[in-house]
Amino acid sequence: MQGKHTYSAQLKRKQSSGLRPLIVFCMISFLTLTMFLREGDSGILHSIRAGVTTITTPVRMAGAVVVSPFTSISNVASNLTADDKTLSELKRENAELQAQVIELQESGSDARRLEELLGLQSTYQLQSTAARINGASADAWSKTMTIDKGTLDGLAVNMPVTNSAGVIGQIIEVSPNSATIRLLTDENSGVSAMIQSTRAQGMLNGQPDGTLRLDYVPADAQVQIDDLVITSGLGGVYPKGLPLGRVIAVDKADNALYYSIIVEPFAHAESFEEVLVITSLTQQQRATDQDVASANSNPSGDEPVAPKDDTGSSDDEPDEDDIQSE
Amino acid sequence: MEIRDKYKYHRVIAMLSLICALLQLMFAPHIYIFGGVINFMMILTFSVALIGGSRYGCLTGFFAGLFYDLTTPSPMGLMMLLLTVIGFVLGSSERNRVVEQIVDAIKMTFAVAIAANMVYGIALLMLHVEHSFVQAIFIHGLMSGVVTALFAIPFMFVLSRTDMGQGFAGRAGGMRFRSIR
Repeated sequence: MQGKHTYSAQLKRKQSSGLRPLIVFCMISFLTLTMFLREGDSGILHSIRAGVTTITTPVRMAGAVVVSPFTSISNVASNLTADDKTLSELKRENAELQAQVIELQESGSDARRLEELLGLQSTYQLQSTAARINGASADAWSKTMTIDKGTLDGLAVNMPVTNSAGVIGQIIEVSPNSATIRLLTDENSGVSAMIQSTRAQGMLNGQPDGTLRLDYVPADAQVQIDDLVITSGLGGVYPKGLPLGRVIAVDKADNALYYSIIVEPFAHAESFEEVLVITSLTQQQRATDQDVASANSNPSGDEPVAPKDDTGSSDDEPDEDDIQSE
Repeated sequence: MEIRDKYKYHRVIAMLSLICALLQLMFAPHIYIFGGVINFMMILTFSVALIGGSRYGCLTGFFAGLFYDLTTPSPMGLMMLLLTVIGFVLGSSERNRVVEQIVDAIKMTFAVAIAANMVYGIALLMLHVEHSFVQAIFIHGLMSGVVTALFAIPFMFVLSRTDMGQGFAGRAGGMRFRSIR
C-alpha cells in the first residue's frame, strides 16, 4: 500500500515537473507580450532589445561578411546572360540617373550642377549621417534592415533613410551602435507622397510583393503610368521632393472615390550598401502651412506642370519650389 | 557516474544552444527561400525537446523564444510563448524519439514546424503586424515551417548518433508516457 502510494507520488512529481515550468513560462511570456504591446518605443523591453542588438551587432556583421561571397555567387547564377560586373555597374548607374532626372524636374537647377552630382546628400542638401547596412530581418514577416550607426551618432527613431536612388525607409528602433530601418516595402510602412507632375496627394504604403500602393489619391486627379512619386513632406518626417518610385499601374473603378495605384520603388536596400540617415530637416525641406492647406483643399493637385526652368517661373504654390532653393 | 553524465548532457545542450544562436544571428537573416526564413531557435527547441523531454523542452523553448524575440523586430513574448508550448508538447510525446525513431521524429518536426509557423502568422495577423492572410499563412508561415524543418534534419541526425538519449532516458525528471503505461 505504501509502495503504491510512493509510486503514485513519484509519478505525480514526474508529471508535474514539466507542467509547472510550462505554466510559469507561459505566464511570463504572456505578460511580456502584453507589456511589450502596451509600452512605448522607449519602454524597458524596447531598451533591453536595443541593448541586445548592440551586443550582437559584431556577430551579425561577421555573418554578413561570411555570407557576402555566396550572395555574389547567387547573383551570378541569376544573371548568367550578362557579366556580373557590368550588371552591377549598370544598376548603380541607372539608380543614379533616375535620381538625377527627378532632381532636374524637381529643382530645375542647371546642367553643370547635375553633372557634378555625386550623391543624394549634396543634391538635396540633406543634413544627414552616412551609415552602412549590416543585416536584414531575421524573420519572414517584416522587411527591415539594420545599419551600423545608432544613438551615439545622433540617430533617433523616425528618422528617414535614403540611398542614392531615393527613400528606403525609416528608423523604428535604435540602440547605441545600430538602428533598425523599416523598409518602404514593409506592410506597416506609410509615407505621405504625391505625384510629381500633378501634385496629387496620397499615402504610399508597402505591400507584401515588394511594390508600393499609393492610397487616397482622389479619383478626379490626373495620374498616369510612369508618373514619378515623391515625398510631399506633409508628415513632417521626410523632406519634400525625395524620390520614392514610379507608377506602374493605375486603376479607377466607376464609382470609386480614390485611385488604385501601384508604384515600383526606386530604392532597393542591399547589404553593405551605404545609406544616408536624415538627421534633421531645414525649413525649406518642411511642408509649410500653405502646403498643408493646399493639400487639404486640393488633394487632387493641379494640372500637369512642365518642369520648372532656371528662372523659377511662378505658379500658385510658391512653397512647392524646389528643395535646392535653400 | 550519473552526475558526470548529467554535466555531459548539459554541456551538449549548451553547445547546441550556442551553435543555434550563432546561426540565428549570422545566417538566418541572409537565407530567404521562397518567402521562408529559417528559425534556428525553433530547431534548438525541437532538438532538445525530442531528446530531453517536456521539462527540458519547455525550458529551452522559453529561452530560445526569448533570444529570438530579442534579436528580431517581432512582438516580444510571442515566440517565447509559442516555443515554450512547442517544447512541452514535443517533449511530452516521448523522450528519446530522435534516438529511437528518427524517421518519426523528422515527420513530427515537419508537422510541428509548419503548424507553429502558421500559428505564429495568425498571431501576427491578429496583432496587426501582418496584414495579408495569404502572405502570413501560406507564404511566410508555410515556407518558414518547411525551411526550418528541412534545416532541422541534420541536427536530428547528429543528435541521433550521440548517446545523449540513453542518458536522458535513464534519469527521472520528465514525463514519459510509455513508462507510465
